[in-house]
Amino acid sequence: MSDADDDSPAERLARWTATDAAIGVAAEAEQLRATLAEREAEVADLRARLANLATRVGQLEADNLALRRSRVPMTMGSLAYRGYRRTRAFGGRVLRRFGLRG
Amino acid sequence: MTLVSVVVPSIGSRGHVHGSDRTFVVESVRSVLASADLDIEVLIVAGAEMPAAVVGELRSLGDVVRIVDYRDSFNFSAVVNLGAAHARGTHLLLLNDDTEVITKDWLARMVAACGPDVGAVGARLLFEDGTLQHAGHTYRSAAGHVGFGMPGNSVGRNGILTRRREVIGVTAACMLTPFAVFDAVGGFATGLPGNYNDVDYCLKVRMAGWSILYEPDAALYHFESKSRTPGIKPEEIDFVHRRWFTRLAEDPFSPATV
Repeated sequence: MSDADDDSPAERLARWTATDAAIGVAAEAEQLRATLAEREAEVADLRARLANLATRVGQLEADNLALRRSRVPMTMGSLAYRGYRRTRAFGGRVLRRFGLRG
Repeated sequence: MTLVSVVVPSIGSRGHVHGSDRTFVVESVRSVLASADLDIEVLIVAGAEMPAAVVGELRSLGDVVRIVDYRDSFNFSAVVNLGAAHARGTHLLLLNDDTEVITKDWLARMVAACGPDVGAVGARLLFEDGTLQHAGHTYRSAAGHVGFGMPGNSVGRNGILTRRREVIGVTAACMLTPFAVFDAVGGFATGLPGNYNDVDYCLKVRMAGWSILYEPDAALYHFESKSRTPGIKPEEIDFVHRRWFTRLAEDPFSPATV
């Protein structure tokens, strides 16, 4: 009736043990390939993110450089204004200390 | 011509069901013989614990019943393989001994469902109280049964419990599989002596290209305790994960809710 009619039970059992083991090896290999593919995708993703970050760092460095170069030089007017503000603040602190100002 | 070899592992256990005591395997085989509308042979794979009186009772059921002695330590997969190794049929029907047929044409329906592309067919199994024990496997979160514990007449979403459909796997408590398929995939894995052997078998069958079907019109009682603790061993989990981890994570047939 069955395809393996000519086999003895012992022969069938031996064949099935071997077949199951071979299928098991193939299935485990498939799992390893799937895991490997997953890890490779993860590595590729990390590489892409690293490349994006490197580009961003390059842009920021370029921006910084441009900012440094475009810094406005100090003029006598701005220096005088800074001195006036510092003196005014100092005066305020002294007056407050001696209770001459609220 | 179709000949179904019914393989029943048993140690001749007794239990109380539907108000009376019974020897499970004897009543199970009686219900199979009374309902089978196809040519069958019944192979009882008897553990050493089976009482001689039960063996005698089984022999008295007819010439189609054969006893195959199993003398090694318990290994469900090895027991099933031993029974299958003695089979003469075109199809194997793996059947737990604590079952009882409900629908009279169950076997013909299972065989009819088993087309050339089908590697295994499972039945609708009910607990003694009529609630659902099995309507196909689901591997969505963990390996389990679709509709487990629901009322036996539940339809489920989109009739999932009452229509023939493809599933990721079926329980070996009642599983029809062509002998050629069983032979091609190397039977049950003896590395899984107690649990997940049907999960592994079904995944081997699917990996080889056959589909698995659930046939709701083949209904049987399965007098397993609802609270049965399967006693899963870490090495069994490891075995299944090593072979099938990614496939277990891909169950396209089970809905999130039934």
